Parts: sequence; structure tokens; C-alpha cells
Amino acid sequence: MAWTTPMTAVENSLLTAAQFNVHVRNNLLETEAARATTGNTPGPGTGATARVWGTEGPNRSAEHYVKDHNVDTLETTSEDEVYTDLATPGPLVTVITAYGFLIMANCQLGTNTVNNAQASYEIYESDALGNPPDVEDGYFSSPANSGRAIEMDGAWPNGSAASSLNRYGVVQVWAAVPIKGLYTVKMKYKCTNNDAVASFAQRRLQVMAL
Amino acid sequence: MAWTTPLSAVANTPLTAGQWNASVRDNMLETTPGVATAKRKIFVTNGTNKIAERDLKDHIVDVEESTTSTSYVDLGTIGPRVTLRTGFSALVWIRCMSSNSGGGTAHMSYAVSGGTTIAAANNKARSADGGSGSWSPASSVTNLETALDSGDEHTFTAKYLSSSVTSSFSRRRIVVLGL
Amino acid sequence: MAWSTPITAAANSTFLASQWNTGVRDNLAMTAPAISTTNGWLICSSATNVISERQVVQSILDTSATTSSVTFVTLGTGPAVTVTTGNGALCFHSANVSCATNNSALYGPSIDGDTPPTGRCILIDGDGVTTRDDRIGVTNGFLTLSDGAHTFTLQARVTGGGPATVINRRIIAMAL
Repeated sequence: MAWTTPMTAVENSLLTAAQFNVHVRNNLLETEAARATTGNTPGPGTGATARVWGTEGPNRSAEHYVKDHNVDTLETTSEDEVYTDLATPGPLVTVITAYGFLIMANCQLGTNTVNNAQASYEIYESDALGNPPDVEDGYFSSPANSGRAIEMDGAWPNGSAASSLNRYGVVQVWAAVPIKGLYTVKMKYKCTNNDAVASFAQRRLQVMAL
Repeated sequence: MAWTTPLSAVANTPLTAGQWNASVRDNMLETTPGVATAKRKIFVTNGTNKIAERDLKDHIVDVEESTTSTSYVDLGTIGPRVTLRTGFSALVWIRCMSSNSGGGTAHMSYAVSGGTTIAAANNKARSADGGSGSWSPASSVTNLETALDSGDEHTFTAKYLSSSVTSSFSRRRIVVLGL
Repeated sequence: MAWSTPITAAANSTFLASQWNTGVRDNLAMTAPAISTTNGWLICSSATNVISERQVVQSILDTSATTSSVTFVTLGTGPAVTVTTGNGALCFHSANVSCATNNSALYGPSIDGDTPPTGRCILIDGDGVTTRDDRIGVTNGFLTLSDGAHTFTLQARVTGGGPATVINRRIIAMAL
């Protein structure tokens, strides 16, 4: 079923069953009232799944899911080359989207040296539980990078190791999914020197599908 | 075309073409599939019995640039900035990393132009104090503008100032949701 | 009035007034334009076949305030907002936050009077040398709420010493 521009009636002409089914039944079934749903979607999450109505293309609307996931445990890494999981991976949120996400990532972070702690996120095609396809490559992914990161300079603000663990958030749009499907946003971590120990806690992620 | 309360049918009364056009055709065109024109928009209310699709837009300027200006100015690369149509309000998120050459404060805020003019200001800025020789934490701040001319296009442009030193800014981002 | 699955018309059958009223009038009355009474509110699903308009609201308190309390306190009016939600809300808050001593300042939202955990807060670690005054922000997802009105109030505390200072304070609740 799809939307059809509602017909313009002409005085004294008969309304056929087929016209009713196309212009009334099928169009009503495309409206937000027909398609509003509730209930949690599968996959990691701290709270319920909320739904904001948005567009999915010309004459097509859709529920855009809002989900969150919290991992509050303080964990560390000295990995300085690639963004990595901590002992407790995540947080991570999986939603269906045709376009991308509004991503809200928050974290308490810092290092024990003048080097930086970085908390970023990767995005990848996944199943409903946040697992990537069981293949080595060929599926869509966008690795974590510093441009997206919450970043704490260990030398902030005095140029010497402060060992501060401040908590901040970043809000960004990421909108480059190739096709409509299930995608996971997962926080990843590193520091800028492997002589440092970067610490991360109170890691909280909220995602609104677009 | 506008929404009208759908008529209540009465048994044995013919449905006229005019009634169909008002209650079915015109009302259907006011629902979300009737209004939707493209991907990546959010529906909002736009008055009694009226909805609108609104943009969520973002812009990134990663280049590191500096200023010593003590009033809000553009950097060498203007922005980031976005233009979109809004109702009376819009949600605005701005973010950057900053560094100061000495003990001053770096401020990133934003100005609004177009249907409404609103100057950048410290009380809605992302600000970083001190930090000689190091980069301040990247963080976003959120503001809700609530005095916009409904239905007009507005441009939201990041602006920068330094309280007293040379302030540098990088990884500059703005996200705006029209409401 | 409630939503009902629209009928499938059959050729040559009479279309009853009651069928129109249930299948067309009452169903249209459940759509977004029918329920819209406001300007700039989101449209959210609140139950199967039910949508609601949901508010995005901000409270601003620019004045400076301080506390040396190690338990969360409301400084002035917070600031605070009250919204009617479905099963959740997103909350955004931003402020200049500082701590004058080698302790931490926390600033985050209490919901309906609860005690904010650290994971909701802006947290600034003072070093006891330079009292910096960054303006930063944090977002929170509250997706376990019950339907109804909820009040989000920004509160502050220190982990010791202090005082903590907060300025240019904003809280925004996006009801879902």
C-alpha cells in the first residue's frame, strides 16, 4: 500500500469501491494515526523506545525512534592508535533509519598525564541486537574518529598533568546511511599516548533516528 | 487548502462532491503523508489543525582559526552556519574545541539573521577559560530560540570572541532543528 | 473516538453513514492535523494508533549562584521546566560551572525531586590553582517515565571544599 493524491470528487458522479479503497482506506493506512506504535525495540537500551514522527521521503512519514543506553562503570585504556572498546563495551544504541541520526554522547573522561582522553563513536550496519554482520568486510561502517569525539586534554588548563575527570557532552548529526536498515551507534575510546592511562566513566548515549 | 472538521454522515443523505473534497481530499492532504516532501525532516505542530515538516541541519568547519577580537566576529572561514525555515522556535547546538594564548576566555556563540535578528551572546556560548598551551574539552551547549518569526527562513551562524588574549577554535559544529 | 481499521469497500454495496463516521470521520480525527493545537511541538506516538503533541520548553537563569553543599541543592529556581510526557523525554542543560578548590562541582537535573546521579551531570574537576569557568553542556535521556507531567530542576553540589559557581544556566526538556 502507498499514498495516492486524494481524488477530487465531481458532482453527481459515483464513488466506486476501488476509489474508496485507494483514496480513503489506503491513504488512511498511511497516516500517522494508522501507524503509531509502542513497545521497546530489541537491543541494548537503558530506557524505553520513544517515537517522534518525521519524514521518510515524498508522501511518506515514519516513526523516528529515540533510544538511550548508559554504561556508568569507570574503565581505562592506554590504547593510542585506534579507537577501542573498554572492558564493558559501549554504550550502544541500535535503531532503524533511512537517513542517519542525531547523536548525543556524554562522558566523564581524563588522563593521568598531559595527553588526551578521547571518547568517540562508530556507526555500523547491524542486527537488532547491535551485532555487525558475521563477515569480515563488505558491510557498511563508519569508524570512530576524533572529529566526533568528546576530548579532554590532560594538560587543560595549566599545561601540566591535572588528572581532571570532567564530564561533558557533544551533540552531532551523522547522516550518511546507504539504505534504510538497522544501524548501531557505539561509543569507542582511546588516548593520544600509550604512556598515559585514560579513564572514562558515566558514559551515556542518546540517539534519535532521522 | 486547510483542515476542516470531518463531517458526520447522516443515514440516507447523499455525500456531495464538495463534502468529499473538504472532508476527505483536503483533510488527507493535511496529514503527515500529505505534507511529507523529502527525507530527514521532523513533523511539528504549526498552529491549530496544522502541521509542518521541519529541517534538522548541521554544518562542520574543522579548520583551526584564531581571533583576538573582544566582540563577536567571524573567523577566516565563516561559520559553521545553517539556513532553514522555522516556526517560532528552534533548537540550536554548537560545539568546538578552543585554546587560549594566556589566561583569558574563548567564546563560541551564534547569531541569527533572516526573518529575525538575534546577536551572539556569552550567556548562550560554549566557553573555555584559561588553558594556555592546551586545548579545552570539546563540548556542545544547547539553546532554544523562542522569538523567531514563524514561517520565515533563518540563518544561524557561529561567532567567536576572546576576552583578552588570542583564542583559537577548531572542530566547529552547529546543529539546528526548526520547530 | 478511537482509530479503527478502515473498511474495504465492495463494489455495488451501500456505504452507510455509520461506516463513514467510524471509518472516515473518527479516523481522521486521530491524525496529526486533527490533534494539533500548538506551535512548534513535536508529534510523537503515545500508544498504538494514538499520537500526541509534545512540547520542547526551556528555562533560563543567567544569574550567578554558589554552593558549598555536598548534597544537591536548587540554586534559586534551578532553573526548572515542567512538561507533559509520554514514556520519556530528552533533557539538555548548559551552564558556566566552576569549583574554587581541588574538588569537583556537579550540576545536573533532578526529576520530580529525585537526587541526580553523577551520570546526569556536568562535572568540573577543580585543581585548586586556577578557577576556570567553562560553559559546557550535557544531554540526558529519560526514557522510563510514566505518562504525565514531570518537572526537571537543575541542582548543584560539590564533592568537598568549594564553592561551586554556576552562571548562564539553561535547561531544555523535549517531551517524547
